[in-house]
Amino acid sequence: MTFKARLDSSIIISHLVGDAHKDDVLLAIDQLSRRKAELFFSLVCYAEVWTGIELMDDDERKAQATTSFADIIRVNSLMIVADNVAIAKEAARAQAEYRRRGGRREVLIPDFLIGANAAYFSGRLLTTNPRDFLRSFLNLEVLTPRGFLQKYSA
Amino acid sequence: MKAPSRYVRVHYGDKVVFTDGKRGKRGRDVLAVWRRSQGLWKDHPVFHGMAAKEVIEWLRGEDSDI
Repeated sequence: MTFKARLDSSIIISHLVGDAHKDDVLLAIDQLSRRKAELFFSLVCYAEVWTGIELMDDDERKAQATTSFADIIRVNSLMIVADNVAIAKEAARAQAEYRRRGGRREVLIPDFLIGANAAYFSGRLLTTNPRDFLRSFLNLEVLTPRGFLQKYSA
Repeated sequence: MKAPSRYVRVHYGDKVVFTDGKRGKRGRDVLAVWRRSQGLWKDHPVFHGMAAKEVIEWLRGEDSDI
């Protein structure tokens, strides 16, 4: 059975900023590639990485960053997937529950769209930043790169 | 940005994948491709010196307030 996972934008951002997760990200990507995993990436996450590219003020660096992002998408056959109505309803359920519990944020929280999208496409989200909002999705396995390696490396 | 005049009608639960039409070289150079861009944003005009957690807070707001 094909192994499926949704990559959070934090995976690519950790890699690009070179933070403490960067080496675990590479190891996890290597492992996912060996498994021939189906990898998904949502439009919200695409927009988050693209925001970083838009913020660059140097044209040459912007072009380099654009090419690198495109290379990552292609080499991993990363599937950029749209939300659909079922995903929108699930994100809305999470947002409504959050407000009933006393949450104060008034706009639809991106994590709810990201969590609902990941639950729908793969049931698994690989992230370097497992935020509390993601706990709203009981059918979603949230893994850091290290957690993934510990659980799934042979 | 000019929007193309083509619409794709799908059902509420359909899975839609976007592609740029170019074929990838899956599996051959995965690590080499990733290694080339590791740390590329170290001198980013806004995100320099930030970990992904801070960048995500910048993009999405703070984590849960309850």
